[in-house]
Amino acid sequence: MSRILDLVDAADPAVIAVVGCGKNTGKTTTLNALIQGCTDRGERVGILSIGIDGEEADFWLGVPKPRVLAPAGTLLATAEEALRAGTARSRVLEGTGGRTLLGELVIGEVVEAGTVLLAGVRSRRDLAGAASRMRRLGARRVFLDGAWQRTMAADPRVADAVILATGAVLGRTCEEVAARTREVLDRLMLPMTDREDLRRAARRETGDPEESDESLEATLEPVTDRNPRKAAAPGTIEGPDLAPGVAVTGALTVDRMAALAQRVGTPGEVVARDPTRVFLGPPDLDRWRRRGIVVRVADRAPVLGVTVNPYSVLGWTLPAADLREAVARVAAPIPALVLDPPT
Amino acid sequence: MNRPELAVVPGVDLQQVRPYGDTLGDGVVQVSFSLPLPACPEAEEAARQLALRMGLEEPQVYHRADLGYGFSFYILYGRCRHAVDVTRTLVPRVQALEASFEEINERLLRVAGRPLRVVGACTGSDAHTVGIDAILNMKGFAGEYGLERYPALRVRNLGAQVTNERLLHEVQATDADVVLVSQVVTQKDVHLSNLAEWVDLVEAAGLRDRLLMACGGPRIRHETALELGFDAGFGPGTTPRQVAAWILSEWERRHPPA
Repeated sequence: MSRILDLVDAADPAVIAVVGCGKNTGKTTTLNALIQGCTDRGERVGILSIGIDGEEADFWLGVPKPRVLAPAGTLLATAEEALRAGTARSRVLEGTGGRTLLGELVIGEVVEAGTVLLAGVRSRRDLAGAASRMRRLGARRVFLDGAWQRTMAADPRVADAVILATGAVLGRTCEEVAARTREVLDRLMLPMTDREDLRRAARRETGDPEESDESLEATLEPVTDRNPRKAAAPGTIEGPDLAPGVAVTGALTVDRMAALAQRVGTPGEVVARDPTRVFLGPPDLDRWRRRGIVVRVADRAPVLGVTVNPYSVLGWTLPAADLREAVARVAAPIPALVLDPPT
Repeated sequence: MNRPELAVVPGVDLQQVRPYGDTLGDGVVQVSFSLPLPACPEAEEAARQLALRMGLEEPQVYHRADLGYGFSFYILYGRCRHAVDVTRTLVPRVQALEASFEEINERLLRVAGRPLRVVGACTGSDAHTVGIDAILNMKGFAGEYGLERYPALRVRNLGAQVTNERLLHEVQATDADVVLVSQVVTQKDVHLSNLAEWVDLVEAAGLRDRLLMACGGPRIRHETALELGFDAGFGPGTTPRQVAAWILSEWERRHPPA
């Protein structure tokens, strides 16, 4: 349990995103280890989820899930009705004004320890707003729980760091799990550009954190042409034709990459805002790399470590030590660790 | 949690809800299944042992039938030991008002001031358009008009096997207000992963806050949709009017009168 705190202490981030390589890879177990570890040493923590977490059973498979365990004093951002769903007794500290299907998104405080249900956060804007409210209300650290393999919480404008959860559910062999983990890590650890002009241009979409989010709509250019070769809209590109690099706002998808590559000389680079904006698989990235065009990012949240869950909810278990080693090999120098199984 | 709407039957302990057979709380349940064995005493005993392993107490075979070709069918009764605390059970529901075709159109046009733009598609490798067509096509489903018939909605149905990227292009090109994604979800979760990627893609494109997004399909539940990051999920039997009413409710929720 203590090793996960070593990861936290090394970088001392205030906001940590727990991102999964897939569903049932151990995000909740990782979250619980972080909550418990930090609380035990007197740190007040805040928690929230970009999906729903803390339910008794997996919605899809119907199998029991680890519950989110919150000690007294924990802050949580959740929908008002969800506050009543766990065994923990909580009180509302303040509303956020965000409207959800389960009532207002509120910041609560656990008064009596127990299980909690985290729900109601829909967008990055909700996430950033709730995290900052909890920090203001005294949370030393805020943990953002992911959903499925979604990466939104790893947005560096929201999270200072990422812990990745991987597990046996991704494959029947240690090597298969390690390979899938590597794919996610490759995305989260996309190289950062050295060029300040491209970094600034890629950030332009929403501005730096201190800038207003009002620029969000204004700088998004729709990509409307069905022909992907013509699909890069003017205004999404910085620099002249055949520039050594271009910056892209919004999502970098397969078609947009193909269109942008027409404007980049080789060797060259395409720079996205951060890894959560890049929707290219390993084969796509490899293909462009071989052609001399590298995808880089303006910013990214560092990955502190990988937690490894040897138990698959689908019914098999991989040897914990072997799986950890296989993951550690592909993740190096990022450390990999096996957490205690949920009790 | 106080749930008076559930306390209909006198004497039921909402914190200890058990199945009911002859008397309240007796836990009696009925299970039925087929076995790849001919109907014989050994097969009947196998059925009883299976029920025991399911956790049922005092299982008894009440019905046995020969299905032919070496198969047999069983109905058993037994006692379930488990109980559920429904006072702590939270099931999110799609919150939509009950309104007629005419009311929905009138209110939508009034609150939005224009017809809303709706884009629908079966995404990923999914080629099953029955669900999305039932909701969108003008002729409709279950005696109700489809969304294409609603004057307050401008609908574009992209059909089947639409990539998330193409859907994003259409959403941007049409400046859509509402996205409806249909998926026949497989056991291997492939289609759910596709839905999860769609939500991240919309967020990355900076459109999430202004889009109403729902997904639907025979194995989609509202909770699953919320967990994935959608605003609503619609399962089997959903009618176009229910979806239209949700669009109205969600639009009103997000755009309260000043």
